[in-house]
Amino acid sequence: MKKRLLLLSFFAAAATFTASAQDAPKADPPLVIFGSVDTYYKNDFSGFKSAGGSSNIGTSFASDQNSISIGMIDLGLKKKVGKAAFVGEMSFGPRGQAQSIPNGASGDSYHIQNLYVSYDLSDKFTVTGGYMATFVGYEVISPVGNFNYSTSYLFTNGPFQNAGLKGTYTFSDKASLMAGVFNDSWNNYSSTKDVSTFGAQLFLSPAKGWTAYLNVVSGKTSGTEFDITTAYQITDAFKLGLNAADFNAPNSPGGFQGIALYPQIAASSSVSFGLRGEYFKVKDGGPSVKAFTLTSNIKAGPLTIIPELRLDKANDELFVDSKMLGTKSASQFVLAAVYSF
Amino acid sequence: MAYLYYMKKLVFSIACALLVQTAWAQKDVLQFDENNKYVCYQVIEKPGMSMDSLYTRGLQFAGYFAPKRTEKTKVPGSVTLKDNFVIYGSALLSKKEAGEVSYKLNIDTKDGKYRYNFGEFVFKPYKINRYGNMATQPGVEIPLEKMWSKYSVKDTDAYLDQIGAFCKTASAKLIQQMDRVQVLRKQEEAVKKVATDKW
Repeated sequence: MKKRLLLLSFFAAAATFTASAQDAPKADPPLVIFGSVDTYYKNDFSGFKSAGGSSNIGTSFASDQNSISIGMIDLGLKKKVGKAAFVGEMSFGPRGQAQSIPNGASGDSYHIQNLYVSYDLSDKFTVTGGYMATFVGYEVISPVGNFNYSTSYLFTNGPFQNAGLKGTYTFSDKASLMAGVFNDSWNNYSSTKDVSTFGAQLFLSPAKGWTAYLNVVSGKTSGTEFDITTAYQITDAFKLGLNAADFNAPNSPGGFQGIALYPQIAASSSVSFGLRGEYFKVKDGGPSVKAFTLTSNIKAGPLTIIPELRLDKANDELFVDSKMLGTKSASQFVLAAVYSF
Repeated sequence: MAYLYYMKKLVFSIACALLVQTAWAQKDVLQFDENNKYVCYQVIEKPGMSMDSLYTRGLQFAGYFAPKRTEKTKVPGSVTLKDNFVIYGSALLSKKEAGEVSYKLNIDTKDGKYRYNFGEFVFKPYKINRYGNMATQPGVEIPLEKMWSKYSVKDTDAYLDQIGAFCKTASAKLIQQMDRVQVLRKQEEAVKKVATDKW
């Protein structure tokens, strides 16, 4: 009996060591399942609720007035074997479908966030093809990637996703260049006519903790946007981000310009505060808005609770007050919960 | 007497379980140095071997283990490399990259002995980026000694275990290279031949 137990223990110990040996760092990474779930409550202080259920501030997500609503469940798979990798990420829910993704020809809503393959042609050069989150801008569709829960005007008016083929050359950990061709229209799984949009991104890291992305996306169908996105982790607790963009609409003098500043401070390992101050202007005599969003991220493991206050002030009466009269300002409160896995 | 027999069995089983548990706790490989920094350190006697021979073997190991990461030092007989490796967080269904750990390995040689020292461990946590990939957050770096202040005891233990396992594996490879133990290739099993025309 003792011998049997001894043998059993020996095999258990051997299995432990074998398991550790299989975890050698140079091995191909395993198949990874990742994603998030988000839900929120929003209240516009004017009490205004449109027929569609939204309210004053035209944020991309967190749109439902006086409602406990859902964002999306986001599910992704990824795997890399040798030099070849794929990412497939899809989402279900308003944030991932009707609010951000194009509908199909029959009105159905697909829900792909990322679907691409990539291959490392060398240690420094990677080619990627498929449907990808846009490289333009500071904010993203996934709530996990944003500090604020509501989104900026710059995000809402810029591209969300681009389908295309791109090559990225990494000069060093301080500089890289991406260039590629993309479908003629943004946020579509297929081209309207052709693959005629050019996109490029120059990445620079001038100092430790400081990253800067200079972006351009240009095409006859979708117009031209120049964008700079930068963030600097100045101390362990303080980070400053900036996003500025200029967009020229195709075949018209229209477009937009804007700048947003994102100071963020960590009060502890689980609580941080951030302000987003944005100025956004529609070209060709359009309105302009200044928006201030104060957000806190309270983390409990994979769960983040996000209370947020937002005040928007326009140069014109873009909003309505409690009496349904036109007004230049609007404010709202959002309480969101995001679980990342 | 039967009672004693079962007690003995129970105690023995617990001892075996503890043995397995000890084998699992790879973080024990890590020690604190005089500056209260985590290191994995050992001095190994190699009587009869010159510093030059040991240095050459150390250099060969570094070149094999982390090509392009070996640094030239001005200290005679010393080899230094700086590299990093990925550690994983616990997940219900699959492993997920938690971040990467950068480290520095020093191999110092003298006549008749050498020492190795894995140290300067810094954890760089990953965050998922817009393309669904895990990436470091620029400027966010946590020295291993401060992990406790940022992560739960359970997570910190899990990370330290993986770092310990890495050091254990890497140091075993280093010792093998320094010993120059000849690896006997396993005799490949010949493919069996069958005569399909005789049936």
